[in-house]
Amino acid sequence: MQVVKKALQQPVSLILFIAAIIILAIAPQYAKRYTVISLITILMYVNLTMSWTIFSGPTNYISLASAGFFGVGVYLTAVFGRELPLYALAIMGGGISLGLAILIGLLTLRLKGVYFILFTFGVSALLRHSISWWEATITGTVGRFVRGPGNETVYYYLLGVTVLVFVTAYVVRNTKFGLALQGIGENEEAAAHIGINVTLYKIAGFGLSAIFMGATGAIMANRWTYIDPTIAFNPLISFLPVLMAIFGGTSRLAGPILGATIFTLLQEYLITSYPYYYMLLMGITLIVVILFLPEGLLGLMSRLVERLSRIKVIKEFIARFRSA
Amino acid sequence: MLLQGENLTKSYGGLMAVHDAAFHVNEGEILGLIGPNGAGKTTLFNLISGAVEPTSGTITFKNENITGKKPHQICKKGIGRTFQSSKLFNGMTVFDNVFMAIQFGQSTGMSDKDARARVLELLDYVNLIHEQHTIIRDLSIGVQKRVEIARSLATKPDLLLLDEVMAGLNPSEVESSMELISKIRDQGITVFMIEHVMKAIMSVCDRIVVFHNGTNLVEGTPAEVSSNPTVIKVYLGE
Repeated sequence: MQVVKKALQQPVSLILFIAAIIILAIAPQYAKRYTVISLITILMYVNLTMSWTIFSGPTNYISLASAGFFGVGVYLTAVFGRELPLYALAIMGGGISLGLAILIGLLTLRLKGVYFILFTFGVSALLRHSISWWEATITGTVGRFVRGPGNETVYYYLLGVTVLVFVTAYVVRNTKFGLALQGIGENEEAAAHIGINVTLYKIAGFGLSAIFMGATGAIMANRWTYIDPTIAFNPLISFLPVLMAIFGGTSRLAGPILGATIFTLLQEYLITSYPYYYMLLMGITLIVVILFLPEGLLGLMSRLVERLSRIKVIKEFIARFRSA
Repeated sequence: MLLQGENLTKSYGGLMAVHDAAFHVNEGEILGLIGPNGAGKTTLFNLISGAVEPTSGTITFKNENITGKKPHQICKKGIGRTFQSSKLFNGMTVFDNVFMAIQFGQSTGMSDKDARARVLELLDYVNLIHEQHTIIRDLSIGVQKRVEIARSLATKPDLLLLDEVMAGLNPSEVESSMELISKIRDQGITVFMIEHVMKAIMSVCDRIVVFHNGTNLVEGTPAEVSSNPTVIKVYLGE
């Protein structure tokens, strides 16, 4: 209830959020096919980055298990795509990822720092290789064809997950849950000693972030006609959300959205305009951001606003605007 | 008896950090825990607060066996603690540090509004009301120690474990810390404190336990302990 009250106290952000959803909801009716495909890629990364930030943002437990959770969803659709409707696959993808995250959480969340990072990365690799091994030795097939619904359906499903993940992230951030995760990130031992059940909160946070990754994977599988373990559990899916979150900044909810969107657009632009130098340019951009923008694009924006508001003409304009 | 430990042992491989120790804390007293470096004092606190599980032995709090319970459970049972090297939420404000302890540490819930009022009350109590919006990492050690005390008080403890809250403080800060500790006791909270500042421990404690090589060596009033030949031998050598 308090969360709803808080949301209503920020009318500008609330209106912006609703407006963005409405624009995105009607976009496919007017936009070109290519735009819809680009939007699908953006939404996928927004979903992954936001869900990653729910847990890893406040706790500083850098998880590289994203590819694992995403891949489980992808594979689920690859296997049962013909028998089950997409909503069932999305829910199951989320559910299985949640179960997997709880299992991994029980095993690994006592690990800290680099050990946790490496273990979660190992989990993604283990899943990929287990399925490859299974297919090669038991079923004797590698890869599957998926013939799912069209782009527009995929788009709307992804948008649905985006809304869910955004609302979840907002609720987590503005309740005791988020406070507990933040306390764990600041000092886990102290958090435990002031009454926070650290194990419970860590597993719940990790599980929550996995749900949306699994659901996104189950939906995205329909974008690719051919799926094998290397595609489903692509390690880049583990790294990109981390980079995008850093790129955007994690201090506010808008950060991961901004990071994922601009990063994806930049990637698309560089691939099409400079196919030979794309990786080089991407690498340079990342280094510049990490070195000079420790708080990501969010930090840059707030610094720009601050600079601008110091310029006399703009200051007067704002003052006049306020008095009017 | 509020808290009691019997046959407590904690070994790390071959090293006995605490070895067959016994102690008790009476309700309403200020009990001091002293001993040379490496005597096992902080390990004993870790055993009580649940940070470390004892290898053997039992700890009883309010007639309930709390051995092996997790820190968050022990906190809710009414034992608060501070840390030797401060463990605060460094990126957060003084206010938020205390606010979090109220939100999570108390066994009964509190409305947001009441919790906020309680934070201000506690900050006033430890004389930090003017620092409420400061981020922890911008504060001096002395002030940080007081935030630790406020934060542990926010969990509504019946027993407060203070681990060297006076280390690194200047003489006037030590003086006000002593006053604060007496004030906390007068309010009905039992205090168990580790301290190296002898002047403080001698004047503020009702009773003192001396630890050496992981076990309790001597206990008694400050006067008894300071004149005890074994204690003098342990501290000064032969």
